[in-house]
Amino acid sequence: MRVPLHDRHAQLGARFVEFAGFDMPVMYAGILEEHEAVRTRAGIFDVSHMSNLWIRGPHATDLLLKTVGTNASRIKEGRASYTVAMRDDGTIIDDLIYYKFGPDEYHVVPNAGMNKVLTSWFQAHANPDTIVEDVSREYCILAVQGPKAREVAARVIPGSAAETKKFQFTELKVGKRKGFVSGTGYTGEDGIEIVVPNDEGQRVFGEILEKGKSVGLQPIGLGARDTLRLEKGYCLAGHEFAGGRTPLEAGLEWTIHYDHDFVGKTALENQKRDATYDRLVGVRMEDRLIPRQGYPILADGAKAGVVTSGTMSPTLKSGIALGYVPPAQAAVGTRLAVEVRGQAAACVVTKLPFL
Amino acid sequence: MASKIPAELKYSESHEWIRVEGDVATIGITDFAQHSLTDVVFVELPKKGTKLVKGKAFGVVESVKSVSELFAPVSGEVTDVNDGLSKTPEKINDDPYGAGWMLRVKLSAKDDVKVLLNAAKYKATIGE
Repeated sequence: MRVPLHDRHAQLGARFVEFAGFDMPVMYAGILEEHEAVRTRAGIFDVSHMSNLWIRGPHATDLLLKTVGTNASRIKEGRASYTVAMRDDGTIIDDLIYYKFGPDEYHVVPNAGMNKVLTSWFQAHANPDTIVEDVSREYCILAVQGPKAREVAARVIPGSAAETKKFQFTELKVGKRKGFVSGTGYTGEDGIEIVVPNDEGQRVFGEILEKGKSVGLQPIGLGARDTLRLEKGYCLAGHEFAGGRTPLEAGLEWTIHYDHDFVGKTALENQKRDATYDRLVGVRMEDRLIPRQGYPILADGAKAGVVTSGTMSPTLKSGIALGYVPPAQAAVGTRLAVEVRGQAAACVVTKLPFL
Repeated sequence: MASKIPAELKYSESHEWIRVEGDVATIGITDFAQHSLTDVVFVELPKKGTKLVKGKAFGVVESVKSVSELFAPVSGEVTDVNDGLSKTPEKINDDPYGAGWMLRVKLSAKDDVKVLLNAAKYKATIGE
């Protein structure tokens, strides 16, 4: 599948890679250059392959209370909440952000390729009067990130929407349709995400590129998106949740409120009491070798865990990884190793974020 | 995209180039290869004295996102390694046929070179 802006990316010289069934730009000018652009100037990402759902009806809040970790009844209108949807056994189905337009109306953004699964998930738990609508292919999602991101966005988006604070959102009316600008992002830099119907997305993307030239804003692909999020220790579905992981294991307990009943709650409470579960940690390489997804993590030469994401950090210029280890090896400062092509490459458990 | 394919070199199908001077060969990866990889961030090369076997993997070159094996275009003993590449692997992108050279090898079988591709044949294999 292609995102609406596909041809534009091709014109910009993007190299494409398949991701969740979509042809997505992995890079334009180059991963290292794009990474640096976001950390020092600004970049625009087209993440329209991600999913978009509306949940509407008098029991919309009840549905969210039942199906995701945070307590939607305590989230204020105009606020975004990052959390997870879990199975009965507490393992994560997907991580997502929901945007509370009102007690009867939520916009939900799950990961790319997860729209059908999440729509079914919500529908299975919904009251008959709750509507769960998959509008994934009708919306563009553009992330503008970096120290100069808001400055550029303010030249393109009406009013003060570009100033929308962190984890808040400002509604945009695009003809008869609703969109929004949110103070969210996946890079660890200041910035916003713009969620608008496709035609408007085409216009906004082009204008942001144009108006961003003077500050050195560049288009950014999924390659740099990955190195940027990994430097901040953010999870990526398909990596940190693969094979069935709970939010306790993945370091996402902060996305759980225990003051409501949700699918997976009992399993989490049991796991918390037991406390022997694997922990997601960050490791920084002391060796030149680069850790990659799937490489074993060794403790005293014996296999103890596994790398879930790894790369050469463009900013730190050393290898960094996220991976699971048993609790005894999880303390910051623990000396471990990553097995790279049969060699034990020294690393140390590091506090997240890496920078 | 037209890659550089110097006429005086020989090439393998796995995108290594080789410059032969007497019975010493210098080896690296082609412009096409470095362009496909994009930014090289790491290269792992064998030590001096290692015996390379034609067709077998002798090391690894990594970009931000990928790990690729390097295959020996000829058999022989490693006499020199470009150690500078561990500090500045990007030389492989900037100057794949010059400062990005990887190894020098003393050929153990001169005939190995004969079966390699010339510039025209390599150009055809990469579809340019």
